[in-house]
Order: sequence, then C-alpha cells, then structure tokens
Amino acid sequence: MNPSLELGPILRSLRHHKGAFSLLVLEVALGFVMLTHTMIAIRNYYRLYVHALGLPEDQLVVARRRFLQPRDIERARDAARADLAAMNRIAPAAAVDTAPLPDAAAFPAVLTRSQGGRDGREVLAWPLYATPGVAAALGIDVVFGTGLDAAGVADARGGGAKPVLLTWSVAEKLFGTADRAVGRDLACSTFGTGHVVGVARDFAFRGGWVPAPKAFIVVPAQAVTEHEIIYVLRAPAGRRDAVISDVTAALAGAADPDATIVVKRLERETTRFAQLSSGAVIILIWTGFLVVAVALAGSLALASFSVAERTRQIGVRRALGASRGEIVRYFLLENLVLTTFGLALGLGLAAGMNQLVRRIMEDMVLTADVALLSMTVFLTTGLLSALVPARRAALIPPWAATRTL
Amino acid sequence: MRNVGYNLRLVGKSLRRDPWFTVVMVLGQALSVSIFVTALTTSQRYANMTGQVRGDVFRVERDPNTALVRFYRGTQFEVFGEFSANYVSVPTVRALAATGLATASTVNFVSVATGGPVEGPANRLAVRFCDAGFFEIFDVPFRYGGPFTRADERISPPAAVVVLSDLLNQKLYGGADSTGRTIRISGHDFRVAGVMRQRAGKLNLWDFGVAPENIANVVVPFAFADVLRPMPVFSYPPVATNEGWHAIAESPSGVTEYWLRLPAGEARTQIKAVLASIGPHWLLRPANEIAGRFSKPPPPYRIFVILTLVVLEVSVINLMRMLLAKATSRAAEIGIHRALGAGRNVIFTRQLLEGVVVSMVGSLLGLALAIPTVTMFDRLIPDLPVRLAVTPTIVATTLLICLLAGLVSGIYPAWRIASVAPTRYLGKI
Amino acid sequence: MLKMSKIGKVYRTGLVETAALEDLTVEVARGDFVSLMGPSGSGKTTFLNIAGLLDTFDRGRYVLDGVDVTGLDDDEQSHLRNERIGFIFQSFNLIPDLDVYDNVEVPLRYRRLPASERRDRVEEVLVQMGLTARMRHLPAQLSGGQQQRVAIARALVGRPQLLLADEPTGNLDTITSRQVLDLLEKINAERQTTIIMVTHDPSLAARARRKLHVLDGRLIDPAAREHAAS
Repeated sequence: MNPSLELGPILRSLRHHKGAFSLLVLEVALGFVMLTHTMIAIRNYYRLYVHALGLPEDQLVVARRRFLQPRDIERARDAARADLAAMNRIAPAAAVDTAPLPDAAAFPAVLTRSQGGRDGREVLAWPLYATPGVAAALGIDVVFGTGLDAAGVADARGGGAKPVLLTWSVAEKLFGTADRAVGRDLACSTFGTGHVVGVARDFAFRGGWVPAPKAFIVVPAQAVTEHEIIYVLRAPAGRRDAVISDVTAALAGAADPDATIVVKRLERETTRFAQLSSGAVIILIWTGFLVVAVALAGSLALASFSVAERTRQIGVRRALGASRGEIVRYFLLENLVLTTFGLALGLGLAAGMNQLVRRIMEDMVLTADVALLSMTVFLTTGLLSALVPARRAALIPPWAATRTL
Repeated sequence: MRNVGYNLRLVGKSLRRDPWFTVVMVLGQALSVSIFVTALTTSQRYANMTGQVRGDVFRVERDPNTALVRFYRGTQFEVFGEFSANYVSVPTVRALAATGLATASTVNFVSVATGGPVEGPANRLAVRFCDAGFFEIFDVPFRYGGPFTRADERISPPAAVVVLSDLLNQKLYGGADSTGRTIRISGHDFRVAGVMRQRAGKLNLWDFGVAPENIANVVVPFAFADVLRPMPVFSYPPVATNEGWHAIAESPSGVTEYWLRLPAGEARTQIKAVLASIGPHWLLRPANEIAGRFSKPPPPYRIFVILTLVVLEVSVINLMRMLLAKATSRAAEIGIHRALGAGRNVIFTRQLLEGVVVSMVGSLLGLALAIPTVTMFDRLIPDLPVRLAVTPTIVATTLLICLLAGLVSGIYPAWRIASVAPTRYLGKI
Repeated sequence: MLKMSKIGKVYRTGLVETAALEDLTVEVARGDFVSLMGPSGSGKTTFLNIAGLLDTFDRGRYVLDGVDVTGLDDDEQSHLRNERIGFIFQSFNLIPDLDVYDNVEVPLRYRRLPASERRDRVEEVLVQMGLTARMRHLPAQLSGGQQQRVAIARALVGRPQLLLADEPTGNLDTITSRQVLDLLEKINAERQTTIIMVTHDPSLAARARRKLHVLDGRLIDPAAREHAAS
C-alpha cells in the first residue's frame, strides 16, 4: 500500500476525537439504514407497477354495457347472448364478472379437496366468473386438460359439480402436482362442488397488488348483473384499435336506449394501483433524496469547517513535504475511513431494523443489491463532500505553518 | 433566566456570523420535518376515531375466517382479512330488526349504480344504503339541510329523499347547497334532503374499508333497495352476482354491515340470544372497540412514518455535528468569555439555546414546507379522497418533537464546550 | 549549501505594497551554523520561508544544494523540501491529533519509505531524543520542552542537510532553551547539518558560528563587513 496513505495514523487519531467522529459514523449508519429501506420500498412498488399479468395486455379490449335502470336478469342474459354472438364474429369474446385489473377489492374463495376428507387443507384463490369462451378471450394458456368451452363440458346452469379451470399454482397447492388436478373434484366456498377440467398457466387478472395474485379458479357462469355486463375481447396483434371501433359499432347496433356502451383498451396506467405504485415510487425517491441531501450538505459544511480549523496543520504538512495531491488524498482517506465505519455499523442496524419492518410488511426484504447500491451512494456522497474542501485544503500554502493567516 | 434576552441576542449574532452554515442547519432540519409531518398526517387519518360514536353503539360481527386473516396479514391490505367478519345477510338483518330491541339501527353497504343530477349525464355513482337510524347512530354532522327520517321511511311508498356525502356534493355540485335538487339514481329520481359534513383529514367510521372511488357516495334509504336492486360491493362468502338483488336479499351470504344502538341491560342480552340462535359465531362488537382496533394505519403508512422518523434522527445528528464543530471552532472566543467571568452554566445554556433556536426555526419552516409536500402526496397517492390535513394536533406534536430534538442536538455540544478549561484553547494551533 | 542572489519579495495587500526583502544576497556553506537576528518586521521569517521553499520570491536567484529552485513546480519543491530540509518552529507546530510516533513519522510517509524502514528511523530518532517512553502520547500531554524535542525529532528523522529553526526556544524556559541549543550544536558537529537559526536573543545567537542581521529586508553580515574593512 502506498505509504503516504496514512491509514494507521488516521485510525489512531480517531481515538482522540471520538465525539465528533462517532457522530459522523452514526449519521452515515442511520442514513444507510433509511436509504436501504427506502430503496426496498421503491423496488417493491416498482415491481408492482410492472408486474407481468401473464395475459396479452396489449391485445385486450374491455367493453361495458351499462343499464341506466336495473334490468331483469333474464333480459340482461338475452342482451349478453346477443352481444357475445356479435362480438365473437370480430374477436374471441367473453362476459366476465369483473374487468381485468379491477380497482375494487374483493374476497377470495376458499377451496378444499373434495376427497381425502381429513386433509382439510384450505387454499385461497380468486374466483373469476365468465362465459365459457373466456380462455380465448383473455388469452389464457391451458396447459393440461381443456378450456371451459370444449365439447362435452356441461353448461353452468343446473346442479351438480361445476366444471372449473384452475391456474397452475392453485392446482399444485391443492393436488400436489398440476397435472394430477385434471378430473379431480374440489369444494369451493362460493358455489359448492367444482370439477377440474383444465389447468392453465398462471395469470394475475387482479394485478400484482393482491396476495396470491396468480391463484385463480375460473368458473363458467352467465356473468351479468342487473346493472351492467362486462365483456373482454382479445384483438389480434396490432389490430386493437380496429377491433375497438368494430365492437363499438356492433354493440351500438343492438337498439338499447336504456344502456350506455363503453369500449376501451385495457390500460394498466389508469388503474388505481398503478397510480398508487408510481406515486409511491415518486414520494419515496423524494424522501431518499432528502436524507442524502441533508447528509451531503451537512458534511460539506462541516468538511469546510474542518479544513479551516486545520489550516495551520495543513501548512505544516506541506512544509514537511506533502504535495497538493497528498493533502487531497489525506482528507479523502479520512472521510473514507469514517464512511466505512458508518456503513459497517449501518449494515448491522439495517439488518436489525429489517426484522422489525418485515413484521409489518413481509415483502420488505433486505437484499444484497439494495445494500450495495445504498453503500455506493453514501461512499460517493462522502467522497464528494470531502473532495470540495480537500481541494481547498490543498491550496493552503506551505508558509501557513509560519506566517499567521 | 434573567439574561434570556441577552443570551438570545448572542445566539442570534453567533448564527449570523456564519450565515451559510446556519442556513444549512436550518434547511436540513426543515426538510426532514416537512417529510415527517407528511407521514404523520397520513397516519393521523386513521387515528383517533374513538369519540365518533356513543358508547351504546354496536356492530353485529362474526368470527373472521382465520385462513382469510392469514392470507392478508403482512400485506398492504392487512385488515382486509378481518373485514370478512363485518357482513351480515339480509335475512339476519330482518330477524334482528324484528326484535325491536334497538333504539336505532341501520344497515350500511355500498353498491355501484349509474346516475347523477337530472340536469346532467348519467355517470358511475356510488350508492350507500342505510336506514334513518344511520344519522343518529353516527351523530353525522351536516353542512346543508338534514337527514331523511324514520317518518320518511314509514310512509308508503317511502319518501324519495337522499343525503349526499360532502365529497359527492363537491364532485356533482361544486360544493354548493344542493338541498332540494333532484338526483337520478338507476333511472329513479330522488330529492336531496341534506349534505353531510366531512371531518377534516379524518376517515369516517362508516367509510372504513370503502374503496376510494366509492367514498363520494349518495346515502339512500334501504327501503329503496328492492327498487334500485343494488349490487353490494362486498359480500362474504361472495354472492353470485348474476342472480340479482332478490336472490341476494334471500341469500345467507353477508352483504351489509348492521349497526345498532342498544340501551344497557336487557336489550343487549336479548340481542345476544337472538344472535346465538342464528349461529355460533355471531357477536356484538362495541363501536368504540372497532374504532380502536382499526386506528392503526395500514402497513405502508406505518413504514413511511418509520422511514421519516429515521430521516429526522439523521437530521438531529447532523445538527449535533454542526453545532459541535461550530462550538469547537469558537473555543478561543468562549475561553475569553470564561476569562471575563462567564460561568460553566452560562456557556452551557447559551450553546443549548443555539441548538434549540435552530431546531425550532427549522421546525417552523418545516411545517410550512409540509403543506406543499402534503398536497403533492395527496395528488400522487390517490388512496383516499379525504384530503390530508395538517391539524393543530400535528402542529403541536411536531413542535414538541422539534423542541426535544433541539435539546438533544444541543446538549452534547453544550456539555463538551462548557467543560473545557478557559485557557485550553487560547492560543491553540 | 545555500546560495541566494539579489532576492526580492513584495507583499501586496490590497493597494499597499510592502517590500519584505530587498536585494538579499547570502551564501551559506555546508556545515555552517548561522544565526539570524533582526527587529520584528525586518524580514527574518520571510527569509526563512524562502530558504525553506515555503514561499516564493519575486526577483533574484536561489540555488539550494546545487539545485536552482526557480524552475521547480509545486510538487518538485515539496519533494526537495521533504528530502533536504528540516523545520523547527517557535510554536512547535505538532499535529494535535497524532501521537508522538505518528508526528515524527509524517515526513517519512511523504518520502514513500517502506514500513520497516520508517519504523527503524523513527525509533532511532526517538531514542536519540529520549522520547521512547512517551511514544504514544499526544502533544497535549507533553510539556513545552518535550514538544520541542518531538519537533526536533521530526525535523531530523528525514536526515536533512539543512535545518531551519525559527525562534526554536521562544516558548521555552531558560534551562530547556539551553538544552535545545546544546542539541543543535551537537547535530551540527556530528552530522555536518547546516543550521540557520532565527532568534531575537543575543545570548543564543552568540552560540552560532556565524551571525547575520536582517534590517529592512536587507542582509547585514558584520563578519563580512569587518573582513572587508580590514
């Protein structure tokens, strides 16, 4: 190591200035703790924002027929049948009980295996009620078994077990492996018995913000209400706008003065949770920036003070033969040593605080990449805050040792 | 104490001597305080709900599904699992209402309809169904007009009057007095009897768990449910939505909250017996307990408060460092003061005062900066349309905290500088 | 060792110009022990600063140990200073944060000597100065005499050829002052180190072999005058 880097003397001199230096170490440590956790939160919200749905988002169209007055269920069903017939001529379409990426919250369904009585293992999954064409309309990939609209699959109405489609993770949780799920029966808290006809690749219809976002059970039903019908369609790649105008025309064609028609592309950015996530990211970036700015400004001011304090000393060092570069390096090294101590302490404190934080929100996991990034930020700001006054220190002339400045 | 004015003047002079240094100290404190206050306002929104209802108000609940509670725990929507316990079925409501034991009672659930002022186009409209007892039970304050009454409900057909929430009134009528105006809901016309007043910066107890887009709602008498055929937003176990209102009204699924006012004694015991006869899991929960249980802010906000608390700690230590550096660099001058007769206590007090002054000025500036920060937060996080408010409580709490922060950051430098012998720094290198 | 010809230095503070040194010419041979006396403001400290490459000059020429310093940049000057010159200041100028060992070691660090050689040299000079017992003490824990001894140790550890002392006994009592002078004489005798000592005390100046005076920025060498006169 370069002998002019006075690591030993610096370390020894720290012992005699415990007060001021331990404050700096503490400040760096706490700042590190705060910045790492802010970065963790930013990462989590960003992940939520860009969470892959597992559906062909850029091909999906959502249409609504909203009734201005409550309409009898039978008439609503008739309207739905007519609409679907018209829409399926344009693109695969299905009626669903909620639009993809809904803002509204809901409760999941509780599933248990029908046989194997004692094993009352409860699996929670999100129910999706839809007309049988839903797999094609949403672009769901059925991996085992069939979709809900295959020949031989009974219609939803009537008693007996409903044919259902499970996502992979639900099938695995309930039956051990996904392929074993096909043909098995299950009990569902929302409708009774279900018969698994197919297993689909995981998708997150409700976005990444809900727990177990990829756990779904798709149930065939005439998904209408007395107030509106929601449809979803899958347009061929690149033809979404054309499909939107065609569908608008098709739905408006059915004369229905008591209803309004809205046809839109599926937009993630306008959902409440997308806005929440992006808003949270911005606020957290601002908070993180504040802590770094406060620490940086304080360190800059202090480092300037410290240089002014040590003018005579710096002059002496120059008199003893230190070059300007060596003076700069000395200050940088001193700062680096302190910052390193601070980061070491900060790492320990961050690990501790992380345990507490994870009890509040499980996904706030402290990972190496975040810790490293945070360390880099503090090392850089530390260096910067020392560089400016260090360069000023280097300008102190050797005669400062003898001539009183 | 006699010389407080003199000491303050000295402190002022000392701070003015290094203006940029002082600016950095004050600004650092201010920025940290501003973000901390913002976090406080977000958490205050949920706190201190007790006092919104009287002691004799209860809600009918059941034991929550533990699988559901576990499902949501540790996530952003932690309390949601417990929400499943809040809903009773319409048949249960009828059974309980039939006992006549409550002095006042109400259902409470939200659904989505289409409608708006008759003069305008029909849009998405959130509708809350309640009985007249709602206004009495929650002691609802009004901005204009008044509630619909039991008399309105008892006539046949029931009087078509509704009450608007403060937020809906702002959205539809720009906040003006809309009493007497007509509003169309799902094709049926209603007269606006009153507009409720929203408590500043605080969520209403009956709005708990309601999605942000539904908080601006119109309160409609439950008597109109058969006409308007609502689709309750929440139901547990989830109802089949495609069966229509009449099926929902007979289903055993919970779709509405049910609140009652019960005088002490017999009435409560009897209601509990009725509940026991309906099923083993039903209970009567006091409203104040509800307010207390859900007065913890949701996990993301708790984390935000913790983060900003650490920011505040960082700024306190920063302030301490800066005060210490300033004091030690002035050591020679302090030596002169000591030589001229100033005792240790005087030096200590003056230094402490400097820390407190900087901290308090910083906190006042921080409170001022908090207002645009809070506005920015509200705009970026459309979590609830109830605006965040920097309430007097928050101001007082912040000032107290900053006083403590000033004392803490001032004490160490003051102690260090006062305990040094007068001659030590005179003529030092 | 040291050769200055017609050195001139002017201080400019705002609109006021002060000529600190005027036409100063002096030659100091290797092994000389020179004392420099003069009233305050006469330019003694300026002369010492220029001699020690601590400060620049406006006119003239300065050759140190055969090297013409005029063309040297800051780094080269620092290097030359580190190798050839040792300083002893009136107010000791020890670095307060460092203990005795680290203070004495500083010049060797800048010379980039390896750790083992640094250790050997520092320990050697500490033994010579009788400071081994206080090796890890801070300057604040030492008496004035001890601090000056540390400063001398620091000045000697680099084995300089030129020692510049500015009022080395100014802050010391009489007994310690004599001890310091004894030390300087010893160093000069044993190692042939050239010593230039600035002092206001005639009794101390008398102990030098060659006595110079500075007055109004000019050097007066009574011995040379006498020599010229005779």
